[in-house]
Amino acid sequence: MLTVKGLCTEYVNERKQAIRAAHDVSFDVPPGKLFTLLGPSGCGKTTTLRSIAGLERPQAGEIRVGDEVIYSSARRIFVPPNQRGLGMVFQSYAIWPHMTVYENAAFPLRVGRRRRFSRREIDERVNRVLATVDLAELAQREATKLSGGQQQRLALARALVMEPRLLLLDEPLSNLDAKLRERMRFELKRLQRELGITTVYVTHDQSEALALSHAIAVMSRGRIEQIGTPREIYERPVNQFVADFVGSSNFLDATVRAADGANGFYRVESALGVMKALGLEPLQADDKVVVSVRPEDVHLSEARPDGENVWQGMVDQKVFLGESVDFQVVVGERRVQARAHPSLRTRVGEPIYLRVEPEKCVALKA
Amino acid sequence: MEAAGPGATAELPPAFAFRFDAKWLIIALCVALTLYLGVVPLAFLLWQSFFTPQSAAKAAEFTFGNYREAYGSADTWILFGNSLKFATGAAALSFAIGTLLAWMNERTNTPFKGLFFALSVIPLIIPGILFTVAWILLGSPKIGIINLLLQRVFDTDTVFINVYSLAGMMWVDGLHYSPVAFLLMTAAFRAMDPALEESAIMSGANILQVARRVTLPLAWPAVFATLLILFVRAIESFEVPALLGLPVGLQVFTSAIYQAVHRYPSQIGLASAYAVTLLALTSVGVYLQSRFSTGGSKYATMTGKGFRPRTIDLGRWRFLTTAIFLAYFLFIVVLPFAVLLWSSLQKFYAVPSMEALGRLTLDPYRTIIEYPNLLRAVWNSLLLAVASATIIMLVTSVICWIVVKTRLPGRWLLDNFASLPMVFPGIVLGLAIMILYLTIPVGIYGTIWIMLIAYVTRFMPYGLRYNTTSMLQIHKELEESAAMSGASWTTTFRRIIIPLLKPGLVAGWIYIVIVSIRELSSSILLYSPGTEVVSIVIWELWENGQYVELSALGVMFILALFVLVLAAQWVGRRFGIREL
Repeated sequence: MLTVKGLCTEYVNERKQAIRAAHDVSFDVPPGKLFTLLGPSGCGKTTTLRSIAGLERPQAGEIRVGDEVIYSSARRIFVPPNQRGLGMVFQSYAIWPHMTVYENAAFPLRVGRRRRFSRREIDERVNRVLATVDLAELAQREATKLSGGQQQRLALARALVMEPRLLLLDEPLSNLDAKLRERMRFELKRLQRELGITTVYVTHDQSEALALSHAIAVMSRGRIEQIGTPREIYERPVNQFVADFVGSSNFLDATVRAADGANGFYRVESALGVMKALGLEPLQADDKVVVSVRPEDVHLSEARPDGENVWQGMVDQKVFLGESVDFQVVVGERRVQARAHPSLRTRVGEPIYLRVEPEKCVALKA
Repeated sequence: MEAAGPGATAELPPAFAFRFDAKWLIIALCVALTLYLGVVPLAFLLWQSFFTPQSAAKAAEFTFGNYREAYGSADTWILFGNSLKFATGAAALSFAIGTLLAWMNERTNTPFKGLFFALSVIPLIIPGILFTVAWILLGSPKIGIINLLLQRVFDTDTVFINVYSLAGMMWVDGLHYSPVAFLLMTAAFRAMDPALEESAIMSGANILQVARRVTLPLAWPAVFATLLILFVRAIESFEVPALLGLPVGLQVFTSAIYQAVHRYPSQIGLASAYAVTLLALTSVGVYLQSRFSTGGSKYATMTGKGFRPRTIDLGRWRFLTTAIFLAYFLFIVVLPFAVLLWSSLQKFYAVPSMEALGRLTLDPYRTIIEYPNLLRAVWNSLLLAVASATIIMLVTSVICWIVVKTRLPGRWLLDNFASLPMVFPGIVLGLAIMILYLTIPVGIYGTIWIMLIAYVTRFMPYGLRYNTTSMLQIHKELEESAAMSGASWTTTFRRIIIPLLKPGLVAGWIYIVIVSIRELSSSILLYSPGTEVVSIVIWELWENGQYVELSALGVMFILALFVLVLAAQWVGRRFGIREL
């Protein structure tokens, strides 16, 4: 449905330096899917989204929606944003304060050259879309009198009212408080799945990305680091940046000793000692690697467990988080982060055993 | 993001990447108009100052003569000194009064201070020429009421005050513009977070140390900027120097320009040389002030939080501060208006006495209403005010959109050109425009159009400022979401930008209407029979010595302006404008 190929964007900052905001960004979004661009601020995700919207003009590349080329540097095509027919929800929602809820939602049907709707059609469509986002009751209210969550839904209604081919969402939940954000996350997912609308979603919040997406592209410094399903991204990060950004991780420097069986496992030597780890690409003996271990994959117990990758350590610090407890365990010289169930009550200074499944130890090429 | 090194091509914002449509026409027209109004008169003024007068017999020749004549004579240096002394004195006086009042109003528990704040804008309503005339009636050595009263009380012939002097000029001008200082310093006091001072006290500093090490350094940019604004304004002042200085031969630049033009034969070259000097002075002032305003942003103490006003309990001293409020109000509103009202009810001007009280009459009002030019002048004033306000607000909204919302290279230049008239004193602008349209024969010299051009040029920076304040508050996503909805630029501008800009548009429009109606110093060089405005009629009445008629017109003028301001504040509240 959406194809982005070789997108490059540069702009000039105040000191006349050219800043590369997006570099060779390419991805495909199949129809009906929700695709997320995830990364820290300044990684180029918003620039990429705005290039798709037409609010920014890239230096090179090609963007296609369906069969229509909306941007191509080679063919010198640039369709202005008001003729692309895409729906967009902005970070600030951009609800026009001088209009009512109804007028905000009806605006896309009233302007623009391609569409001509009768009053009745407009009425029908606006009421339908407002009902979809649960705002039908508030149609005549002034837009400024809406709460944050309602504004967010109105922005969504306005983006959906012209039934766009593609919906663009720019950090739509970042201005909401934590509780509301949680609820809107489910709401958004339900709506997207029900309407089956192809969506590009931009966020810096990894849990949001994991919860909502069919596919995620993790971006850093203008480049895409990895594209995959939420599970792939989380469990099989291709490099340290992705592993670190998507959830937190323990990183252990290690050296490959030998392959351990033929299914991608290797014996590696790290600060914790020799361990069995999963390599995502073929590794050779003496390769330097970084082993990524997620805190929730470190199993803690007071009795020595059976199996591989077991170490003894000492509890150094504990942080009670309610639904879980974060432990800092010292093994030799190394400090390891682990997340455990609150029922584990080992006290600070006491010995404890760590065990990690070999397939949860991901060896990344350093 | 990574730096790819300097010298890479600048990206055009997408808003400018579209093909030709109505948008380009509107933008091009607005930009062209701004450049034409802002730059051309200045260029002509400079050019003219290097030429000899053109006459039927002799074409203009290039010369340094005007400057040689202007700076060769000792008179010019006296003129220069007078201008600086007058402007400094008036600015210092307004600053002292304004700061004291602002402090009393913001940081003390003086009774009725809320009422005082509401009343503080009233003095600004009274046009400069009427305020000056009123103070002549109060403080002239021969007929001044204050002198006569004091002489009777002390039974002496001593002249107590004399407004026909440098000190008198400073007093009248400084007093008249003290509300400007009051408003600016009030803003400065309000912007200062009391927590900054409180934390200094908690750190163990005493009141003096707090003042010296925290309050003053924080307030310094505001103080300096305010002083510069007041200085520039005073050096541009025309009414006071013309009415009070010229009769006793005290010239400053503005009045000297007026005299050079009105001499026979008029010495436009000499006037231009004076004007260029004056322009240089105001430019330096405005430049320094803008430098200080931007440099001051690092001192910005605005946090958006509502500060709890910390007020000092004055105890019994608060009766003194109340007395100061009352005295101030007496000097700046009550006395000037009362003396005009008194004089407007006399057949011939006479100082108040029981005898004169018996001769009260409404004759001057009858005379003035039948005054031949009055109706036309009122019509001209209204027409010019409404037309210039409308043109300015619409054109500057486009300019301001370009400056604030686009990344077009050179947009800062546009901003500067549109703000350029800020440095033009009214009389210099009048002179420049006069020269320009005398030289290019497009047939508007002597018509009302030339005055419209002058008004639009002169007040364009105000429009720009009002629009910029509003424009900065419009999040760019509000516009982008309209584009995403399929709206073209013109639709977006008409249906999103203009409605959201409304508070600034309305406030700016009203402000320009008010200042246009009071305009004198540009009009005085540009009007011809048939295109007089109200302030010119007042000027003519003064020249003719028709004081009682002048007073009658003045009283009506002030009342009309007062009603206008009340209406403006009402409209302002309706549109959610916080201050006018």
